Amino acid sequence: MKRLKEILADVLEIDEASITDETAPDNVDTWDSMNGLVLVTELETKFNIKFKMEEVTSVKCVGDIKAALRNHGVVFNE
Amino acid sequence: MEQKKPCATHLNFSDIQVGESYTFTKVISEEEVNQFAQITGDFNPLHCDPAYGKQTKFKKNIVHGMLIASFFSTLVGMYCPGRNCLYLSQTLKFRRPVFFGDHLLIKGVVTSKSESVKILTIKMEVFVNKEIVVSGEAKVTTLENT
Repeated sequence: MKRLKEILADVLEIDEASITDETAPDNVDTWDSMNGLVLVTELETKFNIKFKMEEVTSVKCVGDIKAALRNHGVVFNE
Repeated sequence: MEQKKPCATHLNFSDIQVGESYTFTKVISEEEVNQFAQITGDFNPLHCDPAYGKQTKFKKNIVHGMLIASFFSTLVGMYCPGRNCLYLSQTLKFRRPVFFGDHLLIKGVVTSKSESVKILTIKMEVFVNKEIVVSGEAKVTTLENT
């Protein structure tokens, strides 16, 4: 989760400590459509995976991102 | 009389492959530095006052870093993907000073393609005498069917 939080904090310019599974575009001003696209590319690069379009459009919050990453074999030590 | 504009290349997302590189060259003149100062309002003496430039550790004026970085816009807007380009983001590091008359080599290497969101990530570098003077990373997408 730390690596994911680092990526989210970097792209969205928010404090890592503020990030929870409920963090979403609705409650983060900087999570706009543009940053959403950049976030996808950063996640793909940093975790060396490729999302499908359906996965991208189904993500509504950080919890959904974690679920999508788990589907690609990413393990979170929480 | 209207000046003839150079024509941008016209690449679609599917035409571009990871690992491809695109380059062009440019020599920056003092006149262009002064034009950049006029456009941006940045008349900092480090760029525009010869007497001040001589007193600095560089011993002469240096080119605005953002003028050098602006050639990254040229690379994506004219070369890869060219006509279809929509520039999403750009990171920058100014690593060495550039002086009037320096010969720049502007280079972009496609480092990743996200098929899901149709975004290219391009590693950007400007070289003078084989040394990197400005570097960064661009993210671009393509406006296809327009």
